[in-house]
Amino acid sequence: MPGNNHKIIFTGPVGAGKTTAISAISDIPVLKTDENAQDMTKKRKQTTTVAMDYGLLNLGDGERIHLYGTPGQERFDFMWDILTHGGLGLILLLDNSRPDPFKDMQFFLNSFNEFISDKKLVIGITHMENNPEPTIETYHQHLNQYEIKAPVLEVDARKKEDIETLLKVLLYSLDPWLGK
Amino acid sequence: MPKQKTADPIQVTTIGLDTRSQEVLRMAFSTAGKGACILADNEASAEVGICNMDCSDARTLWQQNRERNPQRPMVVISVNDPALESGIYVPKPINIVKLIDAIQQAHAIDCIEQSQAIVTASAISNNTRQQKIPGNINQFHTGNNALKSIQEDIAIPDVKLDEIEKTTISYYSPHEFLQGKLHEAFNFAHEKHVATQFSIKTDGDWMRITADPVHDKVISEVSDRELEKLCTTPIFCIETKSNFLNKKETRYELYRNDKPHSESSIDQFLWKIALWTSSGRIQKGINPSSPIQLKHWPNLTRLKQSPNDIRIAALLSEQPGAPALVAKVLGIPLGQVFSFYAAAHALGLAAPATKDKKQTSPFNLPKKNKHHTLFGKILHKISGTN
Repeated sequence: MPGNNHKIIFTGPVGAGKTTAISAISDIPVLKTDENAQDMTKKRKQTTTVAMDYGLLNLGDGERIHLYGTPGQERFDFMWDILTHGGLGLILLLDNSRPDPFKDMQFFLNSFNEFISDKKLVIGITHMENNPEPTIETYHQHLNQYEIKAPVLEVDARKKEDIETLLKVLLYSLDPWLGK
Repeated sequence: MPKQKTADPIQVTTIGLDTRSQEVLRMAFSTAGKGACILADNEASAEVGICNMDCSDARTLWQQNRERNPQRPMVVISVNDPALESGIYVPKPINIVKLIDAIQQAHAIDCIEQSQAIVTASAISNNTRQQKIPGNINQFHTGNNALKSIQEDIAIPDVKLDEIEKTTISYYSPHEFLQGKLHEAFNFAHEKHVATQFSIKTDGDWMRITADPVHDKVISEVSDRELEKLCTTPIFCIETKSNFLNKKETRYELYRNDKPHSESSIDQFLWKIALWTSSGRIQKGINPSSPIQLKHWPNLTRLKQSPNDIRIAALLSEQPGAPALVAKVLGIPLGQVFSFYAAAHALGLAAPATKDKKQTSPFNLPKKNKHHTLFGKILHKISGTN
């Protein structure tokens, strides 16, 4: 249906690569709202997205998929549900270089609990090239505690093929009949 | 006398929200809100106010607003209930449907000139949404019902195990091939926390494969092309030897550059060896009609891709399934499921389903998603397939 409002949501903590991931696959330059990083986020990167990132996949015939990146700062949490409304699925990016990525994971799983129970979740772990620990296996062990069976994949947010694979995994998880 | 209700959007003003947040609200009102509310161009024309009680000076702003506009119904948003005397409380994180419901309730209450527009902390729960609000509020409820998705009833092809086509199935045992020897050497190295060097004689030369479990690294002098050939050659036709390395030797082997080599993680290496060894064959002892189960998704961004690997993983990650059934459901060659199983099994991610699961969990065919066509287009867009 042309003019639809379907969206795929990218979420995760500051510096996990949400903006980069959206940029990797978007058909338009990503619209992003950055401001100088404040407080604790300042140490991690110089700017941080505070409102939302926006990219687009043009499917032809007027059909589009909106790509939304949630703000990385928890103080903007009130927008999350607004962004998830109409969402097809959730891509959670976690930064393996952060002090406690499992705490991040718990925070985002709790925040998107309602959405995840209804839709599908795919988790991408970034910055593993220089921080191999914790391992993907350990993430699965933690997910088991929440009784969540989600794909967890190592990704480099700069690599288009990685983000495309994440997206494919999300799509096939949502509909195993795809491709038949 | 109550204000005359119209189908016009409710004009909303905000207190304590920055411009970016206002833009997000504007977007949400026009999309998820389906035009039920809009942000007012000027404060004077606003019918309902939203006050963010988590901003700095929130109480002062709230008070000032009440003094300026004592009659304007308010919605308050906050992480914790601010326990105000008036205003409908909507907890953060904000659910847009609940927020619009709250705005509409506030507006409706105002319309019938209720003197006490006091709703407590739980006002915007599901129960409250169903409570009777005086006035014809239903006409404004674009929220819940309109926004609920309706599951499409898409017919799923009936798949029965006994209808699975007869296929010629080739069996193999990993131990009769290079895979078995490599696994043996790697497992021993893993147990001892030392590196191992596995050598294969090809064309008169010894080519080395060094595996270091401590650094999760495999250095192979054997090209992928050569390895693929060797993987389906019976092990008794291949001359091999292996030995362990001390720390100094390991360091040297991992960083020397005197011969062309490839680097990978141990999982990446074992995965591709298993894929090549299987080559569409199934391991002895596995019944194609008995369920296999996947412990969890393989790390497919870092593993050698095989045809339909994501589709097979998507199906098996939800429930155990017989290889023959998986192939039938997905409409793919049985050999692709065998190869996927072999690779996943090599990493400890796949195994025959336990008896309990076999007995108590019949295979449930997944439903086609109502966005099936749309997903196909996205897939085509990103990979040229559908």
